[in-house]
Amino acid sequence: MPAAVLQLDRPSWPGAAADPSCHPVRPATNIVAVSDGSESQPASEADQLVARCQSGEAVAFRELFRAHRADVARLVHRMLGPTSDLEDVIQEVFLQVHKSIKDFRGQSRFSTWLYRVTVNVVLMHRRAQRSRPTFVEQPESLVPSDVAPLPDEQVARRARIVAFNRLLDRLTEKKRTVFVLHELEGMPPVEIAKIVEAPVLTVRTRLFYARRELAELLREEPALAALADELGPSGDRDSDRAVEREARREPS
Amino acid sequence: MAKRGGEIEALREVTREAAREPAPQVDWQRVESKLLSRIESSERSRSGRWVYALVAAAAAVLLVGLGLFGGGDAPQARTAPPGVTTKVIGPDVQGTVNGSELAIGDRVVTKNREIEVDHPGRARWTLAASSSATLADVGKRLTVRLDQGAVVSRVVPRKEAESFAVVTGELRVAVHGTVFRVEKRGDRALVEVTEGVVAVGPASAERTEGWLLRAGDQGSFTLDGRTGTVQRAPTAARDSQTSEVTAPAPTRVTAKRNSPAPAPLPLTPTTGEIERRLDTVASHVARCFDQNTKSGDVRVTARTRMSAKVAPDGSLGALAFDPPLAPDVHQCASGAARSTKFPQSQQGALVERTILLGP
Repeated sequence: MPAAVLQLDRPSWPGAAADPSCHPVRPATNIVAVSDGSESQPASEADQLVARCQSGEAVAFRELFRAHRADVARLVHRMLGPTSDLEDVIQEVFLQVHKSIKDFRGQSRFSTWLYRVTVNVVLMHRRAQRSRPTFVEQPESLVPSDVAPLPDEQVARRARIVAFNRLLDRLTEKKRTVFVLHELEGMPPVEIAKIVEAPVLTVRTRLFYARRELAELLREEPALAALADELGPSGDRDSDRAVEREARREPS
Repeated sequence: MAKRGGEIEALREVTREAAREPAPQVDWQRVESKLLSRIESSERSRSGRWVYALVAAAAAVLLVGLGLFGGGDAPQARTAPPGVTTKVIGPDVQGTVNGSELAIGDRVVTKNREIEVDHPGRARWTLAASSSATLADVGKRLTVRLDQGAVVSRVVPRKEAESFAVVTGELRVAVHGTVFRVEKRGDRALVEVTEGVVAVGPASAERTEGWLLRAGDQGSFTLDGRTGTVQRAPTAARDSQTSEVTAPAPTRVTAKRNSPAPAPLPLTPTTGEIERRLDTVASHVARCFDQNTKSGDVRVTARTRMSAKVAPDGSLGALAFDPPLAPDVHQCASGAARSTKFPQSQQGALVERTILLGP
């Protein structure tokens, strides 16, 4: 069973408004946002939205959902690949946000905290999927049958991305997570470290091994092997050394 | 020698392509609506439980103080504590209960006769005698929790998948169809599908995944929803509406003078009979696995789905495993299981069971 990351439900106390939004935790006050432990700054609009949600405003949570749903959807899609569970997992993320937002103390950016919740929900979903018994009958294909045929280049690109997702799936959870956050989401290692709750050096190390492993596995996918042939070898004759160098490429 | 080189560039290029790939379209209205509905249900049941606990505790203290605390026959219709919206229907209710008037947490209890509950336009479920069930959800997935006994459900087809479900223990049977029966028997749940399709699996999952049972199929599952035995209807039973069913070959019977006519064979062996024989087969497989798996200091376990055809004469066909077992194990298991004899029937059966192997 995955370690419990988020706090369990607590019953609301008497007098709490029967409101489907957040639990009331403390009355809304002048919330001062603290960024990375440095000097205090006036609360931004985003911080005020979070504060309103924490104090029980029904409308606030809806606004929060609408403000961040696209980011969550994009990250879930990148971590899981194409899946019919996308909407379910997005829902689950915001359900956890609703349950746990009172625990957000403003010690990091809200987006960082939200990404952490998203990553944890996705990882729990993947673990739960692995332990489910398999369907006796195959589920219907996810590929719609009424889509018009794509130009050849788009077909080739689609095939490469599908192959890439298969390779990503072969990485361990930890390596895949940091690779997705850095290479696809463009996050710096410092922020990734806060999301995955690991030291920055550990993040860099996982990224190193993720890149190396993907480069080594690449030729097992014909679509990507063809791309490698097309792009040609690197300037260095010894391709193993080139792989190592790439893997050590300093994350931005 | 295979061409090498270009992997770095290819990895960079495909990473860029993947980063540019847009997220798929999402029906945000549906996601938002389901999310808020779940939050609302969770808030209602949480506050209901909390208030109920407080009032029940107070009531218990009062009853103890007055010396009125005592046991009773189960199941007894309980009076809901004041201030709590849940109610108990039955066991003497007359006519069909209107499901629209029920709320989450309301309980239906039967004693000597069944009670029918109708949710107009959605589903009609009939709780068998000596049973009890609770309405667990009234949102997009109308859900009935079977606490005791059996329930038969008839569901109006809807566009959404899993519009109706029966939950018992940690097992969920969700409709993708139709007419089905769920019975809680001891530590197992028995599921029979008469029309349509149901999915059976752990209730903890948002979407039910596990086994798909179609018309004519029966299954027996553990209450955690993770292990089960499924007895498949022969294809003819499913296609009976659209194609001719070939009558089974008549069984030769030698009639003795003054002896009574033999009872006709059942269409298929009963689930209980299949369960018992599969227990024997599973134990053969486990023994073969232990004998043929050399592990030294390493503990080796495996989980596989075993399937086989049972012929009308009761003989067991070739065993299949998914994922496959080692050839030695498979051969040993097939040999040992060959001696297992199932009851005779008109059509035989296709049986499956998920088994765990190893210490």
